[in-house]
Amino acid sequence: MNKPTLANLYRQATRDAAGSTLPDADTLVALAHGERPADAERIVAEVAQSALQSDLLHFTRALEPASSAFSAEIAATFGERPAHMRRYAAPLRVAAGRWRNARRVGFGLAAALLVAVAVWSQHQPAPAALAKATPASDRIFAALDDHSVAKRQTDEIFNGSFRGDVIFRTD
Amino acid sequence: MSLDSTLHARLYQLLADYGAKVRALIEGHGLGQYGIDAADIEQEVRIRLWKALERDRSAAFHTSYIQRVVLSTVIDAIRAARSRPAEPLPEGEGEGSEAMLATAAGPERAAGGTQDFDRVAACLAELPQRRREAVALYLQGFSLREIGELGGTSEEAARKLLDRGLQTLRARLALMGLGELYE
Repeated sequence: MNKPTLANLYRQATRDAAGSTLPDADTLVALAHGERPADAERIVAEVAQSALQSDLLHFTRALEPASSAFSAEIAATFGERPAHMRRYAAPLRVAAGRWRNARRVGFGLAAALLVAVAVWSQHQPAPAALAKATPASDRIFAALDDHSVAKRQTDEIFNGSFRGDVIFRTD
Repeated sequence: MSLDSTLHARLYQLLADYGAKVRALIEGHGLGQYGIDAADIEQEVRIRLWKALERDRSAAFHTSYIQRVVLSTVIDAIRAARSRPAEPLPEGEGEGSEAMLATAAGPERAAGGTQDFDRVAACLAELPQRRREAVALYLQGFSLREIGELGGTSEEAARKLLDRGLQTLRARLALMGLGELYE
């Protein structure tokens, strides 16, 4: 076994090698989860040269199972779900994914419909052209037509053929 | 926001269990050597998580969030310990770091530990960067799989880098008369 001696020497010498540099919690968690941050090369070099940073990274990795279990317990407690129901979490996630996909398709169809309506509208005649195309039989505003007003018969009420009341007739 | 008594008791128990695990991990990983107290960390973690739970019950407590809370607490404690003025150790307790070298390599090695490390460091510096990093990570206690992940390579590639790096290092240490470090 040749590792302990050299490793102890190296770790002892790098115990305070990083000086005042302390790693960031987010970075350590990312590294522990197998992610590589943007400046991963610099960070990994620091970890390799610092027993403190290495120990913290070891600790972060070791912390994961307990933290995961704690997270699940909290979720179960607030979600009112008993522990034996937690195995359904994955199928629920799958179902949620399906629902998201269905929603996406729905939104896509709605968007396509809107585009189709917009394109159809663009190809319709302009309002002026519509006015020209209006058939003569449209009589909504025909009352404003002078000719037709002139031709119309007078109102019956004021037509001058008034006959007095019978009650006050003297004859 | 107040929690009903049943929920309160349940959460308290969960936090107590988790805090105990955090404390055991801190002690198991020897983080006490950096001037922090595992019991203090446990308490602080429980307080921080409790406040977070009270603040937002609906929030999902993801694993990574919990890990960040613990790590932030540990890092804050180490920073605070570093800023404290050094206190003289009581009689008989100053054996930690010196004893590790003495146990591993004998009293002479402990006395000349710094000099030996300088020579080891010089040998390491001559290695190509990727081999040097693999060897250094190995000496820091990382497994091949972890070295691969950290270096962005496969486990097999990490093994090759490490093997070649260690072979070169061993040969150079032998030339410097430090071959016994491998024995």
